[in-house]
Amino acid sequence: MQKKIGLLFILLFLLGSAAFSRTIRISPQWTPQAQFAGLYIAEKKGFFKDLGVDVKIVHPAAATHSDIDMLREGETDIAMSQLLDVLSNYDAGFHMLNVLQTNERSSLLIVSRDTVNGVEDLRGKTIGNWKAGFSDCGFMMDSEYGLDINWVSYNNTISVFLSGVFDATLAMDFNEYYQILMSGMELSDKNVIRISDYVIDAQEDGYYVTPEFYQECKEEIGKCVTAIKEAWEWARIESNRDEAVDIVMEKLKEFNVKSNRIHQRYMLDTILKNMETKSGVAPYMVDRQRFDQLVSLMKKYGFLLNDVEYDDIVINFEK
Amino acid sequence: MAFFIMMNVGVCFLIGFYMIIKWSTDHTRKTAIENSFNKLELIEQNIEMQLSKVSSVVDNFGKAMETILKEKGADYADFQSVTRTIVEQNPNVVGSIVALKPYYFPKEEYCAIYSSKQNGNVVTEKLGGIDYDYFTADWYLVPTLSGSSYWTDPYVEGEASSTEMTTYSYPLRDSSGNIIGVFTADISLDVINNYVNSFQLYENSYNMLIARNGLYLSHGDPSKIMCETPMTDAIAYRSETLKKMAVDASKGNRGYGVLGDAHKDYDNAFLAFYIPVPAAHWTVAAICPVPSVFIDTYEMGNKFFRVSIIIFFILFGLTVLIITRLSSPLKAFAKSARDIADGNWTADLPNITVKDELYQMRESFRYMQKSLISQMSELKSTTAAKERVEGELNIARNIQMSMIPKIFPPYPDRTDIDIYAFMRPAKEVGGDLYDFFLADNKFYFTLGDVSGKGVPAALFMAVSRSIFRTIAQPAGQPELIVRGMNAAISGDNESNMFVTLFVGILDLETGLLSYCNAGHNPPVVMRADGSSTDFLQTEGRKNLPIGLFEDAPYDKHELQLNSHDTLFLYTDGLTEAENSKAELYSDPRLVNMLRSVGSHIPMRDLLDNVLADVEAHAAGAAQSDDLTMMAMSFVFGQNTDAAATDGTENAVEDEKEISDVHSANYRSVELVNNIDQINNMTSWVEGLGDEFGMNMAQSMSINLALEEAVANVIMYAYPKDGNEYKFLLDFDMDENRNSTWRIIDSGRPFNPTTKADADTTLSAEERGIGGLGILMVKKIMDSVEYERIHKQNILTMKVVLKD
Repeated sequence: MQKKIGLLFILLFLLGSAAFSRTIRISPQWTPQAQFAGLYIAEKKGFFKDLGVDVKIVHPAAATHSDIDMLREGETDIAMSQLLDVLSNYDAGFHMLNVLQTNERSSLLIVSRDTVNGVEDLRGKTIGNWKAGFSDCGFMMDSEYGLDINWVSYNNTISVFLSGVFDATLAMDFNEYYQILMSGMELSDKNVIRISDYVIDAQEDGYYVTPEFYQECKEEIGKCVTAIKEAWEWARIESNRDEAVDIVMEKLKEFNVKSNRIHQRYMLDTILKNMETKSGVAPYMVDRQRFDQLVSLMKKYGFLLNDVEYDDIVINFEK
Repeated sequence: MAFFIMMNVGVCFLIGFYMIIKWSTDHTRKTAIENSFNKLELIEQNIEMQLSKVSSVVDNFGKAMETILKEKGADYADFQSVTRTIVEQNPNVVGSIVALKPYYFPKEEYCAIYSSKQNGNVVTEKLGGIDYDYFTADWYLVPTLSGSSYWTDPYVEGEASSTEMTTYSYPLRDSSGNIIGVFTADISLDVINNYVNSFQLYENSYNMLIARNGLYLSHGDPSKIMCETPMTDAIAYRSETLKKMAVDASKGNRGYGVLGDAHKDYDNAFLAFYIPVPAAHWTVAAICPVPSVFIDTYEMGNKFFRVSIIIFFILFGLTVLIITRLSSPLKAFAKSARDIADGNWTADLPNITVKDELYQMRESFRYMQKSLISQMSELKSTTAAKERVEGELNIARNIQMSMIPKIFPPYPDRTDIDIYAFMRPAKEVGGDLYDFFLADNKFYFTLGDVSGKGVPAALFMAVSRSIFRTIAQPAGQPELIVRGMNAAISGDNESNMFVTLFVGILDLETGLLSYCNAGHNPPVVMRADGSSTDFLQTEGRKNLPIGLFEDAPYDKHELQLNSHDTLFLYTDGLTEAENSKAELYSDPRLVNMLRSVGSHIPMRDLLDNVLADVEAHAAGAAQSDDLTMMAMSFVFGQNTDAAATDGTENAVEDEKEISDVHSANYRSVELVNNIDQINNMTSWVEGLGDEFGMNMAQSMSINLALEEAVANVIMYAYPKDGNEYKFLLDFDMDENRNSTWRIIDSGRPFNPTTKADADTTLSAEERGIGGLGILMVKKIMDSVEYERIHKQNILTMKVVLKD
């Protein structure tokens, strides 16, 4: 597989060179789903093309080889990641620049089997977390409140939670939470804790490039960012929502991803909601205050060793 | 009524059938649902069996391994051996793994020994590491955390593979009971799905298998497998049933529900049945078209409905038939009864052949009809007889009344005589009598009372009166008259009836009254000078009523009356008149009454006063006895030359001419004074009848009247000296069929129209015209007139001839 990708990269590079414009590879975090609808819409509706930028969406080939890995290894040009992971990577020496922030509010939840009135009710409980990451805010909440949670890492299946071995599990509001609901399990607001209500509303999905690529293809990146924003804005229009889901489902089919339209629609709606502030505005940018808050919190609980400056990470194309 | 019964029966039948159909439909519906569950349970059991085939093998191997672990501690080869063996020996097991906890073997964080079938061979390899971090896999996590074995939700092994797998995972324990890892066996979901889809519950139904996480593992629509869940479908189709099914499946409950609207669109509605598969916390379900599930119910219900409808119509028809059969004769009976009531005694009755209650009713009707006919005919004849008797009694009454003098004043030209009499029988005819006549200036009178009442008394009275009339003048003395009468009556008195009688002869010259009172109430003598008003006191022995003893002695008594003295005679019907309290009018009241009235009023007024008083006394009470009164007052010595001639006193000749103006219809016949001439007359009248088209009945009546009149002439007009005397009977008729019949004879003067009495002592042939005869003539003819012209008697009778 790596060989194939390598050949493809060379081929694309040659083609790009020949046309004096290169193909920009954009990679979402994993297999297709509505979380990445903006990308698919921009591709499908020709928003990239309209701006004269040639984009290819490249999905990670395996769960163990993330898009960040791909970016690090030059297998993609623009990767999606959560700010927290970007900071961790920066601390670990891999510098990425945020060229577009789509997520405004955190989607991270803890779904409990029993009803809970607050984080205190989670004390000493066994809670599942993702092996793939994205759980750090949960850990920080545990530390912040001294909950002494027994975290158990598991791969991405709700069946473990459903089997009853966990008291609760971390869940994305647009994904696992809904999967649990769709399994037939009845949940009320009392079964759900939103992490952002207790520790930090860490911003999640954003688009990242290496500083090198940024210097090289600033213009193309700008076009990509514009097209993606345009796509999300298009998707935010209610009347386009069905077509947006069509585009997502088409992608799912192409990649033989097992899901269903109902879930994808819910996911799209939730992602779009999470892109907005509480007043209904989609800022498309990293909030400086929360950035600093996150950095200090991560430092506090050992997820960051050094300070990171907002401007070291965030490129604001609007300016 | 029939309609009412039919309506009621119909409604009862309908309710009954509805209840039965509803009950049977509910029952079969319930049965169909139970049946569906039974079928589904069969599938579930098959699934469980397939799962248990694997799980039991794994459990057994697992336990065996734990024994080894206890005894000597298992090494890599043991794990390799056990995984290989299970794959080799179980065709459904495609892979088996022993995945050990971190550092079970020192320095080895990951240690998973995996055997699988590859191209027909069993290959064993060691897995584990960053790329295969099994510690986070459900098949490792769940058993190690829960301590229990676990069937995973199916998963797709490898991204390229399309085969869903499921894994049974057994927690391995060391000798101290600590979990050291898991032992698993993988099977293809196809193995399970083969059983899920081993049979359809119904035509066009499909089965589903639902995983713990809700995903369809098997579905009629393959695109939904591993993609959709009942809950996503519930949202997509807005189905409460699917939502309930999703929740129930998640809780491990069984249930069923309707998908779609079975009421609005029965054919496209489905029933979802689901039951849990507890071993794996899966759910097996069947989606069945409602018509298929209830086809038996429906068909049975349908058949039942059809049969019910047929039975209903048959029963209803029979009911209608029976009711009609029952009610139509009733209607016919009603009509017959009406007809009979209208007088059609022989009205037809409904024809009933079956010998049932209606037949009995018909027989009763027929009997009633027969009885009615016979009774009515009896009643008719009885009524006719009664009418005849009544008619005859009326005639008899008229005859009786005609026997007694009832024209007052009887001697209008005699101012010295004031007499008035009144008789009122209690029944049609009575047994009282009175009579009087004037002869030789002597006034003969009598008043009596026959014992008993009614026809026998009347006949006796007639006889008594006739005898009086016959013998009074010849006898000349009252006691002789009474004796004669007694002798005549008691001689052949088989009926033992008797008569109380007062007979008097008053000399109008002297005022001497000689009388004989044969057991009768004493008359009241009212002296004109007012000296006394009292009952006539008679000295000596009392006379017996007549009719008792033939030779009984009767004495005469005398009383001197003065002019204007009043003699009041009466029968006991007056003094014994009763009121409603059975109180008698009584002698004292009579005398008081007469005293109060006085004797100086006309006799008619006197009697009217007495009658008014007695009626006032009776006050409407029925008259029980014949009532007769007679009062008389005279002026004596006033009329000495009067010479009354019996029956001829009014026959006055005048100077009129006998009419001889005739029409073309004039006919006449000459007859002689021989009774045989009656036949000649009869045939002559019959001839006229034929000639002028007389009504047969009228012809006969006229004949009868003429016979009477002619016979009278033959019998009495001429002296019986053996000579033949001729007389004429003629007939004429005008254009209006007014007929005139005349008998013209030159016999002695005789006016039959004034003869008010009938001599009942004579036979019909002997009896002269007058009395019965003239009555009949008058009845038949419209008018009867007598004239005496030129010494000839002319009896003119007129009658309108009927066609």
